[in-house]
Amino acid sequence: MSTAIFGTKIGMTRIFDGDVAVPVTVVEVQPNEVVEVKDNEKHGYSALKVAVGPAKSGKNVGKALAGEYKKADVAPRRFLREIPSVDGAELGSKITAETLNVDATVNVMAISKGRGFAGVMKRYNFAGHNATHGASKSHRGPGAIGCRMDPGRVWKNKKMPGHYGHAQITVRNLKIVKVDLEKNIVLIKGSIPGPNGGLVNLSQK
Amino acid sequence: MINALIDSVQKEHLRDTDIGEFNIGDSVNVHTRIKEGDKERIQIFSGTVIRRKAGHGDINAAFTVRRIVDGQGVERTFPVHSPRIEKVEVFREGKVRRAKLYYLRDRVGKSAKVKEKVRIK
Repeated sequence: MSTAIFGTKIGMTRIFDGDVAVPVTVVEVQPNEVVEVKDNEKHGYSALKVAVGPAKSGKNVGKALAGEYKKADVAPRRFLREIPSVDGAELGSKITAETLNVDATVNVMAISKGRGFAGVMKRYNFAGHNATHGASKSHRGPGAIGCRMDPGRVWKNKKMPGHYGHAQITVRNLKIVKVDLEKNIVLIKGSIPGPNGGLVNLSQK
Repeated sequence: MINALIDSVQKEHLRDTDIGEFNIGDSVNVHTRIKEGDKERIQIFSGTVIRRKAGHGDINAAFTVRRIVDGQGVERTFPVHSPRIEKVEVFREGKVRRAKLYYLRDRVGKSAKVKEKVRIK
């Protein structure tokens, strides 16, 4: 059964697992509160709509949204997201990191850091050009982007400058080092996408 | 500024046993635990401490020891909080005027030595 839960990326550190130093990312997984239970009969698929993220003050919650939260008796939060159904979940129940299987790997999905309009060196790791030796006005450019009369155009998907980052990235098969239900944190080996404080989705098959 | 949650994770992994006090420029013996098969023994790396990185409460704290082996400079960096480090033993205190002794790398012979600190009691 697939499971998923939302958390917040806190940051990285390292711990000593036995003798070995392990780089870990700390993810805070506060209980995800169920706002709506979707089922096959009514919606055509089953899922849980959960409230996650920091609390949202009353004036930022529209009446329609407030009604939705009220139905489940859940305080408004910044995000409403869907996760796969969990047995016995009902309105207002809390999904905790307990649902994660510590021995299995986890897929982490998050929005990567936005880099704005980036050049090809940052975006595609192009090598750029000489800093000296007479190089003039072209140090970080892409160089040639195509041929001449034939084909007389630039190929599709040519790597060029453009918007980079702020895209949904999934990193698969990361190891869970530890799940601490007391502090509501999950330690994941290695790095995960997005800025500190960003919303992350931890899912397992 | 470290986040309180990260701090709480790190705290559990900070070493509780003291590795001993030492300063930059000191000549030290670093006792490290080495695993060979299922046997464990202590290996000693001795040399001059040429830098210390990060403070006491930081899990990333480390120090670097430099020595000359067969005319070849060898440096090893040890994480302070690694369980593999048994202890650090100072056998000679050094008199130095800077925090990082990278200048030792460019020196050979007698000039690559750190003067001994003279304690007047």
